[in-house]
Amino acid sequence: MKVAIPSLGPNLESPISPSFARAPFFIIVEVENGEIKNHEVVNNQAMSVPAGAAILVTNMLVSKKVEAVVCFNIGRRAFELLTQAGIKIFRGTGTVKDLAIKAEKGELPG
Amino acid sequence: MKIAVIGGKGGTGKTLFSLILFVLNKNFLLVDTDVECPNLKYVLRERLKRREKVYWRVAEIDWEKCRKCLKCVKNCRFNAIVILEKPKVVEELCEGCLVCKEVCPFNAIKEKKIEIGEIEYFENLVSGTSSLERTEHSLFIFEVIRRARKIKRNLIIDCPAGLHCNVLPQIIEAEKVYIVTEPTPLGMKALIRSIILCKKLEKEFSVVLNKVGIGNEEKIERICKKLGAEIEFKIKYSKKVEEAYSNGRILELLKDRIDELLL
Repeated sequence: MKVAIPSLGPNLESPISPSFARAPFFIIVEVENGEIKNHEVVNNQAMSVPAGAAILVTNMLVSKKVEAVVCFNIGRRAFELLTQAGIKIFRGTGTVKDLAIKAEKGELPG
Repeated sequence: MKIAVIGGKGGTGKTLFSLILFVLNKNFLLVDTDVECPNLKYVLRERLKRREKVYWRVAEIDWEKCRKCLKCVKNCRFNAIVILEKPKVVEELCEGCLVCKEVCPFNAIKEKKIEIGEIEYFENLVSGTSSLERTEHSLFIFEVIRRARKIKRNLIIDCPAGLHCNVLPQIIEAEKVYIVTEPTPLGMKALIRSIILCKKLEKEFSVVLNKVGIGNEEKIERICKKLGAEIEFKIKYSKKVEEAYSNGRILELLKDRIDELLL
């Protein structure tokens, strides 16, 4: 499963970002059977745009074919758009690595 | 002549000062451009003469014609187009510039009419209320001012709090700007930013110091001197003003006792 997580730092040990669309980085993790196969760090272009951050992030996630996201907080527009795009939304706190594994196991609340 | 009353910080007395100007100059029309929550109509309590809806346009993508080249997404300056199965315009963010229509090679983009707000006309007041779905109000505010101008040439434009897009149209349209401030640290900070904004937009402006007596007025005076701004009016703090506001009788109070309030 491809999980995207908004993150404060550019690696798997970084903590999740408190904001979703305006997080500094997105880390897209490929997890299979509880193991991390691959990961990609994306510099979030939407972090400092004046308007439409949720849309830019949704477009980026759709183009990367992400199946689920984990967030700490999420804005109304991002929530609506991700739902429309068919991307699952989980909530959680911790490091990117732990969250990606937990999300794949289905241990996180939706 | 168009006069804009701005403040930066909320609750400094923009509406109060607009009413004072109105009481002092009867040939002016009040315009409420606090389009997210207009309140002058509750203070004036005049009979509603008529309502008018204001329309604008947004882009709409015809998915049958769209071939998903995504040129519209790349060219949209407002990031208003989201890619689902195919690109879709998020109406609340679309400003109706129609750049997407220009760049679309398949002619898949149409204009769609939307309501952006409603204007209410009273005897001495024109009041604009923006549609709930809109996040960006500049176009609507320009339209409110333009339509008010058809009724009277002299306008007192009451602005919302803040110094962002919601007050720029008023300042751009106005010939004279009044910056209302209060002698508090937050009032002072908003004052500095307001003065810088007025200077950038090359507008004639002066300062109104409200609530004299509750804080450090000398500090505000020093700042005004330093930035080359003149304090044109000073309004004394009075509990009576607050009471009259709550009772909806502020206009009566101003008519009777305006000399006591102005220093």
